[in-house]
Amino acid sequence: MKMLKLALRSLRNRRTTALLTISTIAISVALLLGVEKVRSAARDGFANTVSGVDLIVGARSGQLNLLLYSVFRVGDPTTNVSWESYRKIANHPDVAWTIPISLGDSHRGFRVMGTNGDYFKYYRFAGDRAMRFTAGRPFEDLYEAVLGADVAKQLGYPVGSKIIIAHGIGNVSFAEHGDKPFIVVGVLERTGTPIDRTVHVNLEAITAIHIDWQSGMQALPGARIGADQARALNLTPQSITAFMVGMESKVMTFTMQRAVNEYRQEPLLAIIPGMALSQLWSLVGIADTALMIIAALVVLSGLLGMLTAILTSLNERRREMAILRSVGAKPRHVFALLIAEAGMLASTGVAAGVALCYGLVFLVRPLLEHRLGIFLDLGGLTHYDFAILGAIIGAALLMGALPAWRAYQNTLSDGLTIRV
Amino acid sequence: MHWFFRTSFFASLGLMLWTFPAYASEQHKHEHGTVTFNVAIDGNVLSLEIEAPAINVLGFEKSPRTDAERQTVATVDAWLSAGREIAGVPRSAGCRAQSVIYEAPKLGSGHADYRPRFVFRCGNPAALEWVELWALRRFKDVEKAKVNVISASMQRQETLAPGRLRVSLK
Repeated sequence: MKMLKLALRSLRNRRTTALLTISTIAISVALLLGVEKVRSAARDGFANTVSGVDLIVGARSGQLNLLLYSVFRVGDPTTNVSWESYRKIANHPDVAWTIPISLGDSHRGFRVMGTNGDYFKYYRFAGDRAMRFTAGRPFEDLYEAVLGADVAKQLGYPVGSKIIIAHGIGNVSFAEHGDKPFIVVGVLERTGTPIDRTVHVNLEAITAIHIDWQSGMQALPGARIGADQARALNLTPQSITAFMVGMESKVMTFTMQRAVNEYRQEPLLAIIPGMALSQLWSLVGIADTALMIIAALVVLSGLLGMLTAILTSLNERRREMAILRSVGAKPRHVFALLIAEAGMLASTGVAAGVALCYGLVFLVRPLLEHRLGIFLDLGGLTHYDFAILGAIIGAALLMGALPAWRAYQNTLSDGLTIRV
Repeated sequence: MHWFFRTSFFASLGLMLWTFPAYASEQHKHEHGTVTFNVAIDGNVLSLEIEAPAINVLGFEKSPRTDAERQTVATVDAWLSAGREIAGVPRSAGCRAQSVIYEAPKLGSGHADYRPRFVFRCGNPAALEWVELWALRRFKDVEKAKVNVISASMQRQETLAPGRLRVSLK
């Protein structure tokens, strides 16, 4: 205890260097922890986006491609799935429910997704959370729409607003389905997933708004079909972008997957979302590791900085050591003093680093959530974090042994002899 | 702006996929040296499906010519259709073999795969913490053992390290 007090007093005497050393360590620790936090948040974000879905079926392409466009609304499908194939699989006795997905249109930069009522009933995210409405209800009529939380907030649409869907997915579109406006009947609760940025409509409505369109152009005024006229027509789509499948029993998932992948009438691909995500991690893992190595190297350079500071100070403190020895301190006391100093610098640095990391996370959290859809959890330190922090302090103590050994070896005469 | 970030992230991802096509390929394909185990749990039913190229089960992938080869095929047929010594789970789970779905592959016309499926019924499925894939001990020259696990709470894919048999189900 006395040693610690003495070390503290000695450090206070050199506070500028000590503070600089502490801030170097703090910054490096904050970086390391921050990287770890963002990494796990990004993973959770992806993993939380879809759950409860046993299979996703789309046109035959790659596993990740299908996962990305059907769930994350990123990238584009190679081609569509025919309605016949969809119905055939949906009617299979082992299939409990299906959620069709039809993409391709947009509203002011937000994707429009055609689907059915089962979407609100069966889709789950973040473990077992179902979708909930902050206002209104699911769509029922043909020209009704349900908005994701971000769409409603950014465009300021309350329930009851009228919206017009644009053809294609650009932010600014010149081809609009202006003759068939939709009424907003529901706004979904925030989910932290791409659902927040999606406008949901009836699958049949997607057919209805395209019914008088050919090759990306609307028919001439005389040949147009009005919104109410369209209701009378057969609005069963010819194809959909993809669909999600819930099985009666999970045990049949692999069998169904194989059956779809070997389906003769149409080249289809069935993926198990969690497995496709595992693949994504094996890819992203490379970048992850690189980031962690960089962060670890920064911590190492922080510790080396501390070592340099202590070693340099040794020369200035020869007199201090000698006085300590002359008043009865044994060499081991001097050794302990320097180890204590390294330990204190490192632990203060680590504590400041943790505080800095949390402060930064607190500041950038809204930005990350809004811009990237990544939700940073402020939650406490994990066992893994503690292990890392402990290792840093351990490494610092080990490094502190070097100057401590030096000082230990210096004799009493070292600081007292006047050298000319 | 956020779309820029997202797009650039996925664009680089796309580039990686394009440069490493192996990652983007499908699951079900005939690849010598690779065996796949599909484990699914639903309620008290545990299903284990094995997909293995004949060469990794028999040591050859052609119609048997010699007596020794015919004997190997017969032994494997007997082993897989009996469904014994395939996999082990904690005793406390109380699992009993319920059915075996096994059809011997046609040997001699190109590639052949063994695809047996074993269904167990467990008295205490909560105790199903792991499964040991004993079948791997009898397979030959397996370079990669892929395991897909599905349960009510997870969907996971992993590759077993060489010599390992145990897969966590939690």
